[in-house]
Amino acid sequence: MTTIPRLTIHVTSPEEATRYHAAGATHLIIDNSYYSNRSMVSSKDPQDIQSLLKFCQNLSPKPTTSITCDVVLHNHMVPSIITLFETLKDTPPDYIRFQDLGILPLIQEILPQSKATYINETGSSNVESLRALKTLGTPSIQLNNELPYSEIKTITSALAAEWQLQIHGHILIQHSHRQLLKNVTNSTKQKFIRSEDQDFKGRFYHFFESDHGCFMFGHFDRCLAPVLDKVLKCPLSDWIIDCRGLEVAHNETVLNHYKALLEDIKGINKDRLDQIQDALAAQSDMPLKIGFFNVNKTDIDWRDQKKSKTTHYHVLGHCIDIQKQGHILIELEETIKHTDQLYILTPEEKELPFHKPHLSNLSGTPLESSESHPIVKLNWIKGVTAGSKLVRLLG
Amino acid sequence: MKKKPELVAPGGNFEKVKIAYRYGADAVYVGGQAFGLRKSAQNLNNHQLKQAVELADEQNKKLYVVLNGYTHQNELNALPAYLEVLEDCKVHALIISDLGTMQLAQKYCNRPLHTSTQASVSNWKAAEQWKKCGAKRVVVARECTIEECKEIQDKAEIEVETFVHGAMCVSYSGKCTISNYSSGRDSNRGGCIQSCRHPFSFQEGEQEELVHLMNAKDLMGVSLIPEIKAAGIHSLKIEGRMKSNLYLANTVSVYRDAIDQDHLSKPQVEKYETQLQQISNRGFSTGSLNTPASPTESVSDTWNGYSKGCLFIGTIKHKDDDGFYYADIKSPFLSSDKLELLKPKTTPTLLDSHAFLSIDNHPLEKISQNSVVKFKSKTDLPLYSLIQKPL
Repeated sequence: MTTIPRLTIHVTSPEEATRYHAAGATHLIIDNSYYSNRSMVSSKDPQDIQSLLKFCQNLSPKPTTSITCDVVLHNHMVPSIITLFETLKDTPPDYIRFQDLGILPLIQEILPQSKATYINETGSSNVESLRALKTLGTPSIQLNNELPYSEIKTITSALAAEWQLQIHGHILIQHSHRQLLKNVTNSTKQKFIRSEDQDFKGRFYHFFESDHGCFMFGHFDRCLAPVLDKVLKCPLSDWIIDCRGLEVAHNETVLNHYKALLEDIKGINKDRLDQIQDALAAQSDMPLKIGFFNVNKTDIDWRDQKKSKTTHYHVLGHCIDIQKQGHILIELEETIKHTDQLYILTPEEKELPFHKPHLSNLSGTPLESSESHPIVKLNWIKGVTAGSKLVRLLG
Repeated sequence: MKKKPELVAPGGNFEKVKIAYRYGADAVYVGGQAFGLRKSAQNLNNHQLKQAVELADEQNKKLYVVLNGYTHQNELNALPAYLEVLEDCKVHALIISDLGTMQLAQKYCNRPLHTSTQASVSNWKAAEQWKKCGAKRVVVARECTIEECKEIQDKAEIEVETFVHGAMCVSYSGKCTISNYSSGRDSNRGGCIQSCRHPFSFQEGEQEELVHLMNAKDLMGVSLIPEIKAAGIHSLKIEGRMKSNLYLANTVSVYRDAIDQDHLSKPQVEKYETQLQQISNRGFSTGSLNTPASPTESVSDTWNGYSKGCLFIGTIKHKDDDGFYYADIKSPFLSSDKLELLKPKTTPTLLDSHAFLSIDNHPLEKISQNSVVKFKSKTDLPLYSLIQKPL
C-alpha cells in the first residue's frame, strides 16, 4: 500500500456529515434519492444538495466530497441532471458517482472540474472494459463486489486509476425499475423490508424501495476486516462503507473500527482483527461475510466444471429415434460415409464407438453416403440414449 | 411511409434458425460456443454458424451472434480468436453487453456491433456513448417505453431494437446477481437459475405473507405493433432461445403477420393474443412498452404454474418418395388425439391423419416422446410444419 485510503461513507444531512467526519470519514458522498438510486432521503431541489455539499466542504480538515448520481437514466431525467450539475458549478464536488453511461458526457460538459467515478454494483469488470471507461474519461472506478482479490490485483496492475472498493455494508444484488413492494406491504415506516426466501429457508434478504425502483440486498453484509492483509495489498484510493439506511450511531462505530485499523496498520495481528471483527458483528443485524473477495467460483459455470468433452468432437447429427436392439435415426447436419469412424456422444458425454456403422436410408436400403438423406438409419449400439449426438473426433 | 420494423427471432439451435426464417423472421440471433448468456441452449458451433449465415444470405435475411455475457478477466485471452472466427463466418452483427468486449470486437473483426439489452441502455445520452464506442444499434432496456425508444433512436441517431415478446427479467437486465449469491451460478454469464421467481415471506403486522414478489409476467406487445410502427422503431425482438420449436414458430408467425398488416383491428389483435396465449406462459403484460411497468399488472404475486392452450407434439422433418411425412415427436400422444398443424403463413389447422406408423411400418396407437413416426396427409405439409395438441 502506497497511500492511505480514504474512509468513505454516504451522508444525507449536516448532522451525519459532522458525526461521520468526526468518526474518521475522510470522504463524504452526498446522497439524495432524486439522483441517487437508493438514498433514503428525498428532495427534488438541487439547492438542498448544493447546501449539504457546501457544508461538507467547510468541515475541517476538509474532506473529499462526492455526489451520487447513479440513477439508471431515462430520457425525461436528463434535464434534471443538467439542472443539478449547473447548480453545482460554483462549488463543484471532487467527484460525481455514476453508473449510467449517459451521465458521463454531462459531467464532462458541465462539471469538468469534478472527476467521474464509475460504479457498477451488480455487473462485472475486466481490464478491457475498465480501460474503455478510462478512455471515455473516467479516472476513478469503484470495483464491484463480485471481483475476487486475484482479479482486483490483475486489474489494478494493468491499469492506473483511482480504485474504490466497498469494504463494509449491504451488498446490492438486484435492481428492478418496478416498485415491487407496493404489491406486498402498505408500510412506509420501515426503510428495509425483511424477507425470507422460501426455497432457501433461513436466508433473510432486505428489500428497499425508492422512486427509482426496488432494490434487493444479499442475505449477508460484506465485511473485509478479516482479510485486511489482502485489502491492504490492493492499491485502493477509497474504502467504502455502504451502510445507507442504518442508524448514525451504528455507522459511527463502524467508521471508528476501520479508522483504528488504518491508524494501526503495522500493529495489526490476528487477535486484533478478530477483536474488531467481533465488534463489527455485534453491531450488525446481518451476518458479516467476506463474500466473493477471496475467491469467486461462480466464474466457472457448473457445466464447465465437468470439463466438457464437446470441444473434442465435431457434431454431425442428432439422434431422434432409438429402437433398442434395432436401429437409431440420426438427423444429419453433414454428409457421412459408411466408412467413417463415427461415435455416439451421450448427454452424459459417454463416448460410444461405431465399429462398423450400418448406414441406410429410412426404408432400410444400405447407403455408402448419406448425401441427399437428411435423416438416416444406423445400427443400434448399447448405451445410446435420447439426446445423443453423432460425432467425429477432431484432429 | 415508414419502413417496416425488422423482426428478430431467437435461434437456440440450428434447426430453430431454419424455423425462424421459414415462419417469417427477418433476422435470427444465436449463441455460439462461448461468451453468451444461454449456456443450456444448443448453441451453434462454428461450422453451423457458417451454414446459418449462408442460409440467411440466400434469403436476404440476417444472422446475429450474441456475445452478451459479461466477459470476465480470465476469458479475455480466448476472445480475440473467437472474434476472428465470427469475422470469418461473416455473421451480420455481434450483440455485446461489455464495453471491453466491444473494444476487442472492433480490433479483431469488422462486423456491425449491437449493444445488448444487458447493458440497460435507457436514454439517448447513453446510446450516444455506445455509438461512440462502435455500436450501430442498441437493444434498449426492457424498461423503455415506445416513446423513449423513439426519442433514443431520433436523438442518438442510432438503430433501436426493443423486445416485444417473451419472458422478462424483473430487474434491469444485467443488474442482478441473485443467482451468484444464492446458488453460486453467474446471472450474467448464462447461469441464472431464476431465484427471483421463488416465493418470499414478508411480515405484515401480525401476519406472515407469502408472495412471489419478483415473478415477472411474460411480455406480449402485439397489440402495440401499430404504435411501434408509427414510432419508426428499427427492430423488434422476440425472447426465448431456450423455448420450443412451437413457441418460436407460433410467435414469429403472429408478429410477422401483425407487422405486415397496414391496419390492425381489435378482433385481429384479439385473435393474435389468443394464438400467443396457447403456448406455455406465465401470464402476459405489455411490460413497459406503453407506460413504465406497473408491479400489479406485470408481476404475478402467486404461482399457478404455466398456462397453455396446447402442447407441442413434434416437427415434420422429412417427406419420402412414397408421400410419407416423418415427424420428430417430443411429447407423447395417442393416435386418436385431435391434433393440429402449424404451417408458415397460416393459423393452426386440424391434422387430417390418425394413422401413425413406426419407421418399420408398424401401426402405432400410443406414440412416445423422442421417437419418429410417419404418416400421410391429404394436404401439403412443408418441412418444419409443427404438430400441436389442443388441451
